[in-house]
Amino acid sequence: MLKSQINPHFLFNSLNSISSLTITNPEKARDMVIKLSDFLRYSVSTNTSRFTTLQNELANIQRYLEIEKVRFGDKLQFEFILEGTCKDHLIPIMLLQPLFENAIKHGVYESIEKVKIEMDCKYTSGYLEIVIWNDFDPNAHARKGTGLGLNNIRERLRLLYKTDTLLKTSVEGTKFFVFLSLPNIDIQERNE
Amino acid sequence: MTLRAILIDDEQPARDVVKHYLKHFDEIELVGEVADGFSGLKAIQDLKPDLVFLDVQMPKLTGLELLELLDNPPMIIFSTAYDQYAIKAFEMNAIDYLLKPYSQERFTQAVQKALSQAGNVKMIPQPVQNLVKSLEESQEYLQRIAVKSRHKVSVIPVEEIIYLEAEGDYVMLHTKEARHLKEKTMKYFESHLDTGQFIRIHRSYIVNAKFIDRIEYYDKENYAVLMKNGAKLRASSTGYKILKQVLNM
Repeated sequence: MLKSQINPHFLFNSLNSISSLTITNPEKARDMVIKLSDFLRYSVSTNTSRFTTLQNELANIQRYLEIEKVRFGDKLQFEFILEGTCKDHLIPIMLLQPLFENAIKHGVYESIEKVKIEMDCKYTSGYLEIVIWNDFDPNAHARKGTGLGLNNIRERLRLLYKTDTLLKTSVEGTKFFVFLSLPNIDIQERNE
Repeated sequence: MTLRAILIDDEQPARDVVKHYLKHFDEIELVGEVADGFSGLKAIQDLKPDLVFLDVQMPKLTGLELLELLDNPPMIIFSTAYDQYAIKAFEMNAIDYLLKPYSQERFTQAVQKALSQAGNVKMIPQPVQNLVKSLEESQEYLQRIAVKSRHKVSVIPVEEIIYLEAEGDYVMLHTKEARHLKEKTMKYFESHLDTGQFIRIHRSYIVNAKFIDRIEYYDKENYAVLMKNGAKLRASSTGYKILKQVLNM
């Protein structure tokens, strides 16, 4: 089972934020209920063998980050830069979601400073090149991740594209980088 | 009677809920509100509250780690979004343990417990009731340990501990750089550290297998374990058996 799972911490904390907003800002509470519903619908209804446009996948990630931003306020910042036609390219559905969850978990949860999550995307010689990076505190001694998120993505990529070299990570100072190279997918071929 | 309370939670919306629910209590005076564990520790030491609303999951220092560092802890009402920490809160004799999101009724119940306990000085804190079932499986090994010296709090990853040594009612944690005294028992560490890596070789020692340099014959039935930092620790015959088993010797 390679599809990403809904994190119970995320779900219950989001519900707590909604409970709080019903007191302080009911309109924002309703807005958050809708965002959370849309996010959950996208997450549970998707079939992992399917592909979607980067734009579609990012819309869901945007929802996810906006929900988290209600909890963390200014501590969480994010910015996406997409060059040219990148947004129309097809990528495996829910592929990027665990990467942003990692950035939240290891960046935002463990830091008392502001954390910015950034993404940059360009298309070069048949590959969609995606870079995602975030601040983190190297001294946080956080509980170690299981590596399951990254391993799941590697495995999915291996099954879909038959190669092992599409995902790389690196640490530079207080920033964690993920590099993804996704071969161009022919829609005709996919739909057959 | 009025209780002085502090609220420690890293999320603004979560703090808003507590403050809203507290409006129903004239007996509780909120004297402090902070957003992380270290500030929380300082606020408790400075303001000496009677009651603390304490979130478990916070950056740098969790609510549970914070509580371990207090000499005379005030009454604690924990809150968290997920129940994996309930067993620890149970061990720590918290007044209550609230699962987010919680209702005004549930919150009131917790505060009533605190009020009645405060009115009865002799009463010993009761362990938290209604704890979740699947605690055994969900329990994780310790990943880091919060310790304090005179003026400083540090959080040590368990990976960096070379060995642990019994010191009366305390346990000495030996790392490459320093030694830290922690008010816990050897039994506690034996059951909360990964037994595949941390081995009880003697009544007085638990060693981190990663830092074992070699094992030498000592005398008769006894062996000595030499650690990479130069420490030479005696293993009991039972300890040596466990050691052989874990290291596949």
